[in-house]
Amino acid sequence: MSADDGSDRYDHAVSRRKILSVAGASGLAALAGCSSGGDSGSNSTTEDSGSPGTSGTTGSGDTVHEATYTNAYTGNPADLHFNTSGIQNYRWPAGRSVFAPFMKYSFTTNEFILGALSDLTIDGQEVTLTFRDDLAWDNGDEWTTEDLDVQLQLAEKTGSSLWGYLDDYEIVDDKTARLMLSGPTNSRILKFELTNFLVDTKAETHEQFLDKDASEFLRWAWEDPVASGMWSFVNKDRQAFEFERNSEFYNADSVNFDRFMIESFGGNTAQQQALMSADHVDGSPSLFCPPEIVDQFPDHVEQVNIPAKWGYGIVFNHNDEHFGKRNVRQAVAHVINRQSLVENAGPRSKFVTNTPCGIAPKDQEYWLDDMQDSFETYGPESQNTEEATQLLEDAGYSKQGGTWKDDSGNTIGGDYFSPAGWTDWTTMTQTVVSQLNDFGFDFSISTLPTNDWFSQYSDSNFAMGSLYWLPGGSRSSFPYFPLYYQLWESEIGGGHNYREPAQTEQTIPGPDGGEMTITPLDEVEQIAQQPDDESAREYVQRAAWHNHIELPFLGLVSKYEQSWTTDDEWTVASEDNPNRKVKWPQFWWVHEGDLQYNG
Amino acid sequence: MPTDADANASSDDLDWRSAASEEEVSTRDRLAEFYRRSVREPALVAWSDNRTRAGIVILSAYVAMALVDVFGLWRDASPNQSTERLLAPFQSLKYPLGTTQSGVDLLALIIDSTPFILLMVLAGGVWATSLAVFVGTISGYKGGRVDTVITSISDFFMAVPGLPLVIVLAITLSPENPLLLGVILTINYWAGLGRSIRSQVLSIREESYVEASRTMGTGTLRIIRKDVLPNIMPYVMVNFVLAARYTIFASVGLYFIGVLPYSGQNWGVTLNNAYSQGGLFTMQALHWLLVPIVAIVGLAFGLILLSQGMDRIFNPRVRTRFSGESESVEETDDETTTGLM
Repeated sequence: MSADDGSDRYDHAVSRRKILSVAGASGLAALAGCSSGGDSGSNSTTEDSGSPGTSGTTGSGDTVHEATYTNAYTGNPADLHFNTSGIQNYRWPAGRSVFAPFMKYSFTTNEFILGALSDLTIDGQEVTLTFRDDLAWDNGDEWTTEDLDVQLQLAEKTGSSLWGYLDDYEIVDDKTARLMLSGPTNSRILKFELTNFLVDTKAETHEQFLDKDASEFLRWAWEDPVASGMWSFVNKDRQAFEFERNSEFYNADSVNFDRFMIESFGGNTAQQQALMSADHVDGSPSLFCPPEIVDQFPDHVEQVNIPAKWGYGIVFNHNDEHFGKRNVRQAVAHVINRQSLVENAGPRSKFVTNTPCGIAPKDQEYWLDDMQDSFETYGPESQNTEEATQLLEDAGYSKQGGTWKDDSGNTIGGDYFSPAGWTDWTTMTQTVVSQLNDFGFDFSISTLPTNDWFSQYSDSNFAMGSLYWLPGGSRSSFPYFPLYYQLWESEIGGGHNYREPAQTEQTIPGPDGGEMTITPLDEVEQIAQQPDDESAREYVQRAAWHNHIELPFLGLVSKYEQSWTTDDEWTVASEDNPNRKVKWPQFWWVHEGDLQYNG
Repeated sequence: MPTDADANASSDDLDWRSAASEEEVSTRDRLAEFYRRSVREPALVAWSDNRTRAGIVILSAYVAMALVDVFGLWRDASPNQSTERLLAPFQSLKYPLGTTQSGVDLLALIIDSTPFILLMVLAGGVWATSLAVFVGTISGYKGGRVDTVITSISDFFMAVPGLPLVIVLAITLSPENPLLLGVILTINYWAGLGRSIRSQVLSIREESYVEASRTMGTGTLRIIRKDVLPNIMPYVMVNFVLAARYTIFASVGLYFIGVLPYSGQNWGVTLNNAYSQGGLFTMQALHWLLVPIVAIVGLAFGLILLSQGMDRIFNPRVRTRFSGESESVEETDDETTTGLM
């Protein structure tokens, strides 16, 4: 099924779709996990891999070592499953262990790299997918386009974004299929869409859902997956996922160790603690670490920074009596000093948005080009309180006793939600709220377990709060995805109430000082339909202009994802290796043979 | 010269229950007596003990910090107020206790939180002890069906696990008012204390002077107020302080795990931030962790010392000896105990 890259951008790996509840998830559980720290579990990698005993050979005659690579991760494996379309309790690291990706995107070379696909041809409105001849399931069955047929049908049933571009598809032969596009489409969009797909659907197990409601499929917990990737599933319990080498995997020769674990840790702090000794764990796919902690890590812990195209932002409830007003949203943007968030939460891994316009910071210059100077920056390194004051006064607010109030004496504020355990986010939340309250807003910080935090937004039970402003992953490099994400916000089911305005014609101040009429969603959809960047640029600029005036979201900070692996017993991809910056090293490096046992 | 008639009149007017006629004690005298009995003597008794004196001094420091915040004598805590991050304590007069990773003045953080914490502690203590006293005395004194009903209710509250209940209430109500928060944190603290008070009242109600009051037809409430309460006050006051201490720890714990909303970074939130940012692992951030810990421990320690003082103040033997009205011999309990051991 469509494997959406959006959720793997954070160590807590929030499911991309609405996560409304997870059994047993709570702050207390997290705390309990924290306290167990790095001492949990008894299987030591060092012990397992200390003796380079061999259990066999690869197909090419190389040795397969009895060694285990252990990942530190947050999440209770017992509750998690392998249905990548599941709306609850699916987590990316486990999925990426057992399922081969169609293709990946390298941030090192800014190119796409093929995985299970052996060829991808985009010719006008026809896309030909050719899969590897040696693609197979770990039970010995051959993978065929019969499996893809079921996968595409289920993708359509569940409303996968890929079907936003497709009219139909046809199966050409056992390894080849052809997608028929509904209109002119930017080839990069299609490629980014395909980076979210895994070989995760087997006709035999999945076709039963073709005749059932989509909801039934979305609720299905696949507990015993058939693997197409590097690892076969062995077991899961409250402590860990356990995988063993899949000898049927097409790149099995590149995998020279026999076990792979994803262990549950209580939160960032417990994972950091584990990496300080780095004797039990060998890596952590995604973990924020402040500089003081990084300094404590031993030399054999290697940091891999990958552009996350994701970061801390603010979501407004556009039905709120205050934050539904553009002036108030712009005032908020002016009051926040974005640079101070970066300095407080991670100057080495985070950076500010030049202008909050719905495009990832490092891509703004390319897309906005000459127009960039016309954009309001809202002061990335300052608090523009004068501008904010003017905006609020124009909107009918007045400052009384240090607090802004409307005609009825109501203050502007409420509960500002932030996810518990996301330590860098907590720091940024405290900075934002402090700056806003100093200016005269009236916010209280409420940190909630991740699922509750999401629920507040999907239930529209908020005024304004923290939420990532980019959908994350490689696709965020292409402006269509983040601009669309901010208008439509599928992950909280449109709980920010901007879907209606997004489809309505709006008149906003234009870049030339006049007025501009725009229907934001139409403009963004036009981006997807342009054959190349040059023709898309005009639409990107108009959509970004609207975004930075209207502020459906407020983008504040973006970051490099900090991924950690050790090089005392394992190989690492070199800096210039195209595989170096592919999300995430623990999975793609194994796929490519760049992460091998050499203890 | 008084006449016989006058003498008879005086005799008739004299209230047989009074030890002296009203004319002999003026309002001023009564106030002076009240001051001596309720303020001066307790204060002197308390001050005569080193530990109590230390407790009073410590708590006064916290009250002073609260006043500093109320009158705005020290800057408010806010991120990026210092350009130096993780500045160690005692390195700069401007930031005596150092700064956090976000450049927040730690002294300002501690001072900012003090009024909130003190109000919360007071609310928690007053709520828990007053409800326990009310329930315990009524239940113990009245007995019978009233006792059965109250005991059953308090049994229920004792059976409810305190922390999960408080967490659920905290998440549901999102209390930001310190008084409400204090009450929520001690929501079922009263049950156990009430039961202890009940057992004390059960023995006091059998005392002869209580029975005498009952025989004279004195009302229940008056008996409780005049005969029962004074006897259990030492116990109540000590438990008031213990409830206050419990409130601090509970609040810090809940802020630490992040189930309570907050607008300023109070002690619990500061602890959590310091822990999350590596306060346990790096020397640079250690002070960030230690400063709120010292603040919490200091207040709790001050309250404990005060509770011991309370015991002395309400202990009749100590007070009597202090005011020189008794010539009781020095206690030799300690020596005896030591000898036995």
